[in-house]
Amino acid sequence: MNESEMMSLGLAEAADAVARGEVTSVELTQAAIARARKLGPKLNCFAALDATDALREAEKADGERRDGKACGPLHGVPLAHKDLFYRGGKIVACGSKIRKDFVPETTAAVLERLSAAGAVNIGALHMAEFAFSPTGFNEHYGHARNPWNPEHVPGGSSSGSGAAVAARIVFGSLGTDTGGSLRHPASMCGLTGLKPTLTRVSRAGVMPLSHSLDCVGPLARSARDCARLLEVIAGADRADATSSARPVPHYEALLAGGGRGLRVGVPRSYYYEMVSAEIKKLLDESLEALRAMGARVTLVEVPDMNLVNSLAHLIMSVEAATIHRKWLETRREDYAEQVRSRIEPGLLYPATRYCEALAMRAPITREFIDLALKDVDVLHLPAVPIPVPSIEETTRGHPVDVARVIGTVGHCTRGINYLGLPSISVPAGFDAKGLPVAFQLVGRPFSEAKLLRAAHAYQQVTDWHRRSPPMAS
Amino acid sequence: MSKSLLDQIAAELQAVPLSEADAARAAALAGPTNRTVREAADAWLRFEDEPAVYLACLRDQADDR
Repeated sequence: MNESEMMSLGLAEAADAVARGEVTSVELTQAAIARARKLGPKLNCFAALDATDALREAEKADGERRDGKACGPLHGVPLAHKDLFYRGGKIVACGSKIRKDFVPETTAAVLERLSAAGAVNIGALHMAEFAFSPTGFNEHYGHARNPWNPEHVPGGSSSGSGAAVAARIVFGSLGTDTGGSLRHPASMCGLTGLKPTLTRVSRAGVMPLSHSLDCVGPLARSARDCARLLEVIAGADRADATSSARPVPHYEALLAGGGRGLRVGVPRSYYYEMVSAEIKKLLDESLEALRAMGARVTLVEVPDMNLVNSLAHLIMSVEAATIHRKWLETRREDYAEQVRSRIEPGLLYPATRYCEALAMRAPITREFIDLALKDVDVLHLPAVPIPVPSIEETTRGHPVDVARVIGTVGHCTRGINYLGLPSISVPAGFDAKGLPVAFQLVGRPFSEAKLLRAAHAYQQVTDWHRRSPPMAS
Repeated sequence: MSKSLLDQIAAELQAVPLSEADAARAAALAGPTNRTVREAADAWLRFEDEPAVYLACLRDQADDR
């Protein structure tokens, strides 16, 4: 297999090829490093490349396979992750100036689980400063770029993850999602991204943005690849007391079954308010494809999502302001103004309002499920309602216009984090400029298996997720 | 600018050095959300609602089909 053939494999295919001895981990890792060196600078998607450690891990993985040791589900597969997962002894800067020299002593539980499953780590991926931007904005280290068109944003805050997986540098990546930070880069880079149910995946050893909303999840090329990653990282963790003790299903084994009988809900209100005409057309076509698979599509009601967004915003800004208060006092000049201005409102809310926002979470989540998900298995929503914006549109021009574009990007995603529900972003085509478009499927708590199965069924009859940007070919 | 007692208490609690412009911008963002959430709490919340109930809600509403 040559480099291009190797890197065009999906994550599960690459792991299976290593397990069968068709390719070695060293070959895959060398190819990933070569691509990181070639494409990484063009996309500004790496915070750090650890070639020496990665090749050592790959040699070890190959040795274990030769010795007949049991191979994990990710044995020998090169990955890289958002630069906010702690790895003992390595700098984890979180896209910030403030933590540019921070070296944690511990390693994030999810990274430990990936290592135990045999994954090879080739480095840390660039991100928005402290995970604070839906576009990937980073004033300190430059913006990561979209492999489909480097003049456009890759989506954020897991911007490097989106760019590196889409450019076929790595087979998959972990990111975090507080208001859409996995689903935005998935949608804008033509990838599949899963935000799990809150508590499904441990957050121990992950730099928080807002602990009531943060979720860790996979970004990869297909639902199958996300299923394999989620099965490895999900489950109870003693280091994260909020992590759920629910058994972890065999997500990949549950992918089969197709879409026949799947009940899909399409909201009557809110979600289509800002959707551009060309994106609406592609969303309609994705619904047609689901119908053709045997899914039943019906219109459903949703509660007041503007209120849900306000609640999410209040909780996020109060919790972020709590985390950042000391640095805001002593190092305020080390924040980009766009980031600081999103944290500071959190200093102004009364404690009673914050408690009210948390206390309303259970009744509003119940109402959402009763209204929108009572008679359907999944909701079909836009992921990002507008075409992928250019870097120019999200950084220059009148601040009001920039704020409007940034606010619109998260219109369909951030409320889902307040509700804590799982959601998967699925590629659904390309806009007139050749940039990716996606829909998201949202389900009841802990319905990840159902979301993955629906997305997988769709990906059996479409090939949007298989397309790769010209620069990656 | 004259300061009310409440302003001074708030400044004491949050020693973040906001300029007038920063404070005005933050207040402009926080103000509408503050009102929206307060009105919703007045309409929604019952005495027995509390944040700790939420994780139980996720478990109760879980997809087991």
